[in-house]
Amino acid sequence: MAEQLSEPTPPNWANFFFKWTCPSEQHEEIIGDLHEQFTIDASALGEAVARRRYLIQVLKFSLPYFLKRKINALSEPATYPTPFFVNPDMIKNYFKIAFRSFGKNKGYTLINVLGLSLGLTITMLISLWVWDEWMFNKSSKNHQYVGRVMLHSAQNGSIVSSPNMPFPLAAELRENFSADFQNVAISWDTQDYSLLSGENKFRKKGRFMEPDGAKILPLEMLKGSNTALTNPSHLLLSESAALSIFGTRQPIGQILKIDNELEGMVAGVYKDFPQNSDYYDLSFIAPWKLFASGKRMQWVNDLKDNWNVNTFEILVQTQQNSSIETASEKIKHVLLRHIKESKHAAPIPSLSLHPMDKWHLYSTWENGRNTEGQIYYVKLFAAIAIFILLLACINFINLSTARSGQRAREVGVRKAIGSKRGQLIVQFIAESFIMVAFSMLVALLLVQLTLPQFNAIADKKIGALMTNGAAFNIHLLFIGAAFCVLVSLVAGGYPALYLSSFKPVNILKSGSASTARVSSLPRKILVVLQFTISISLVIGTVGVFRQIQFGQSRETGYDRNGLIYVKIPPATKSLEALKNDLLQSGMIASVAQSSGPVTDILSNSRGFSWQGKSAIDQDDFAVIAASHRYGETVGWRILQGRDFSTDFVSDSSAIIINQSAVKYMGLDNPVGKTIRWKDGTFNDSEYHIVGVVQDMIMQSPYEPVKQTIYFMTYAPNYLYIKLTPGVSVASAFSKIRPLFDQHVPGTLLDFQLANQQYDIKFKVENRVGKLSFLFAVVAICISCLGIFGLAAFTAEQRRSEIGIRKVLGASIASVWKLISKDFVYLTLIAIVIAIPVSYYFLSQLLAKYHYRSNIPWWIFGGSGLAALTLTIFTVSYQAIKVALTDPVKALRSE
Amino acid sequence: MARAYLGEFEELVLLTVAVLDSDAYGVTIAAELNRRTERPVSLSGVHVALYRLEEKAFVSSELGSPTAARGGRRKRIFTVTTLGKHMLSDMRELRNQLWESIPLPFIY
Repeated sequence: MAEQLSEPTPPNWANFFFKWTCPSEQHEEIIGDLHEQFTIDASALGEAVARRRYLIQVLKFSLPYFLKRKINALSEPATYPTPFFVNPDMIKNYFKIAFRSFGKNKGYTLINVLGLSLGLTITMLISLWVWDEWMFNKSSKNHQYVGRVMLHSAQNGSIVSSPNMPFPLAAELRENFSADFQNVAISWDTQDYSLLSGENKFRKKGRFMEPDGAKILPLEMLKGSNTALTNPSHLLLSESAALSIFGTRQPIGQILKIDNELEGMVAGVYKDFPQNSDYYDLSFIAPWKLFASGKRMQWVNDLKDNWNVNTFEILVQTQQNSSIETASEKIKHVLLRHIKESKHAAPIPSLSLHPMDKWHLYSTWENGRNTEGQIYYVKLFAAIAIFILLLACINFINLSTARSGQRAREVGVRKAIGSKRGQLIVQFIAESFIMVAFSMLVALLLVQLTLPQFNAIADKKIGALMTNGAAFNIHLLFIGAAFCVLVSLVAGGYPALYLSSFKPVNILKSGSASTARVSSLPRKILVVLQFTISISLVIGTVGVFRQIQFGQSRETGYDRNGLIYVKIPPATKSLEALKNDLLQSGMIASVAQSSGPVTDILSNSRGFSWQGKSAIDQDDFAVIAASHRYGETVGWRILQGRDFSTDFVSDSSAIIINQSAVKYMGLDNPVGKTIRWKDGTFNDSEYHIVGVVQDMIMQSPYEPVKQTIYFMTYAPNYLYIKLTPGVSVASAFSKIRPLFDQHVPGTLLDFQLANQQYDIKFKVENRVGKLSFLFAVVAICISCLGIFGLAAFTAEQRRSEIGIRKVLGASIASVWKLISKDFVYLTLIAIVIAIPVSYYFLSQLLAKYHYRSNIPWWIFGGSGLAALTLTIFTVSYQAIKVALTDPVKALRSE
Repeated sequence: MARAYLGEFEELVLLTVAVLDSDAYGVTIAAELNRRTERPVSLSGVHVALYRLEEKAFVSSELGSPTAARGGRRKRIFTVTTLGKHMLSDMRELRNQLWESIPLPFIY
């Protein structure tokens, strides 16, 4: 029996290698020649020799001549045109086919462009916002070396962090840590002041700093030098402030009077800080020495060597060879050396540095640790942006794959005449790129148009693509281009892979691809995903708005209506005369004095003791000076005891505490009890409680009200005015403003309406609410566009089926049900998934608030029902349209 | 130079294409050259020469029919173009002139 020997064949791996190195247009003839030679050699010299020669030949063919041709073939059309896809003719063809197919399906094209441009607009807006937030405080050249000293002290069993430092610490850091710190400066918070230039009055924000502060920030000087602050009668102005105060006049050398008291000469002008900086509104910087020379500022000088009173902000700039982290570690226990024995036997606080890069994004402290802050919203919004973009991509994917039947024949013919799969993939991706690029143009236009509104909602000043034709937001272009590529790959990738996988034989034999059914599962999953995201966003939005309402409905404990307060500059002489004149104007129901505004707590103190005090560190109170009639003016509610009264001379040592204080101190019967206040610096006296008031929300409406002590003191800082009921704010101002001008000359006063100031407390929540509302609406719109397109496709595909059904007697309702059923199921699944997902995220969001609204079931039920209704409406349009068509028309067209 | 330069090996390949008439492709050309010159001629060298000749338009080519010995692949059949023929006769003319110009007696 003859042995069946197979033909000897050359090694496959060599062929593979050769295919890779050989120019494709010559591959066939050369490999053919090689093979023929191999066959000849194999029969003449044996297979082993033939193989060896074959390999040597393959290597020889891979010499520079052929490699060069291979490389050239990749870059330009060679003698024999390569079917390489980056080829001007093919690209022209892609465009032609793309536009034809867009033109043929105008409806779907419109849905795709609408969905994509909506999604891209929102995503780009959010990206601009995220970028702006991310770059917060990072514009200055030495931002990574700048930090603020933080003090962490144990209170009530947890660690409380604050930026308030003892005064001598600055000198200590400067002298003993000069290896780590290049500059150290004591600074006072940015505050609102009145500036007087000649006869003109302005209200500007400014801060007082030690000379090195100008180098730490650092100031970019336009005029003058940043060392000007060493002279206690010099001050620096921002460019915009100089312009608004002096116009075109030379600002240098002009005299400004701060709060009609502190006089300084403008010695320099610095460039304004960018909008995304903590110092964006810093209009002037004045020397610390000028601050300390103020009429009511003697206490600053008294604290020069006091390590126990923490009041001042200290800014530092580390040396180039040190870093915030290493310096932070070194100064941790500095206070141990200086506070010999703790005055209340409480543990001595530790120090750390808070880097400037984190001031904005990581602003909160929990138990001595720097935790989150704004970064939470940055992450949240970035995630939402990605989701919204995903929604738009899903529309594109679904509509492309659903209608793949239409393209199937094209794919079949293309493959039959020699298209490779790679080429088809490139073609389809190119097609989606054209669509995405067009949507991007629309989106850029929309961004340009909506950026002002978005800025208003988000409280930003982000520049548009064209700002007055001059400025130009380069980030927007980069973001746009990046998204263009990303979206066309994400949205076009799957349809391209899917469409190009069709087998030409199957398609051409059957006339059309029966593939629609196979691909409907991924499509359904994507629709469910879309609706899950949209419904979750809706639920989240409702949750945020409920939380705002919850905060707003919390009882404030005082009456904000017609309540005005104004900060009185220290130089004011005759408050009593002013008050008398005000009361005689007939506009005012009552007037009172206090140490701070009614919507904030400026001062906290320790060192209180009372009978029955338990824990040693349990004596942190908010302290507020309240004059007679303070209670009447703000409208607080006395729960026990009485208000301060002029009838009792002993009221000079009277105090009133709030409900929280009663609870905090653990007093059963507070009225009549005595409290001793000894803080080691200013006070050592005894006070007696005359009354208990209902808690007043002066700080965050989402936080518990702080234990507060109201002292009967005529503090000269703030004047509270309660308008006579029925008097409008405008008419009251026209009467009382002249009185203020007369009694407080040379100062532009900053009147605040308690109502407005209180509403500012909801700013962040309102912003988040408005933005998430916007996101939810866009998400819903995109999702509905998607199912609208899918429903149209289903209706179109089942035209003849429905025709037959109608001929056999199906009612309109049953046809409508037939089409809508699938979509309703998908929405129901989405609702079921969205409920736990959104519950999780919403409860996480609300966990940030101490006082938070509950999450009732109707949020989920209502949002789900709304989504379902919307789905039915969207689908019904198509379903009813197809149900109403004349079956004759549908069937005859077959 | 007025016309394209032709190397020695290229000239040999071009002549072989002419010799083989309508059956000139990589393997046959290499085999023919091998037989006549008795020096090792590699397929790749022949191919490089053929492509260069084609770039200079001395030969033209078209794809022929596939054979089993080639693993079902087609061969590229080369034919000498008119320009190629002119080139060959020009060179031959030149050589003849040179030969005739050699002063006698010439030992060879």
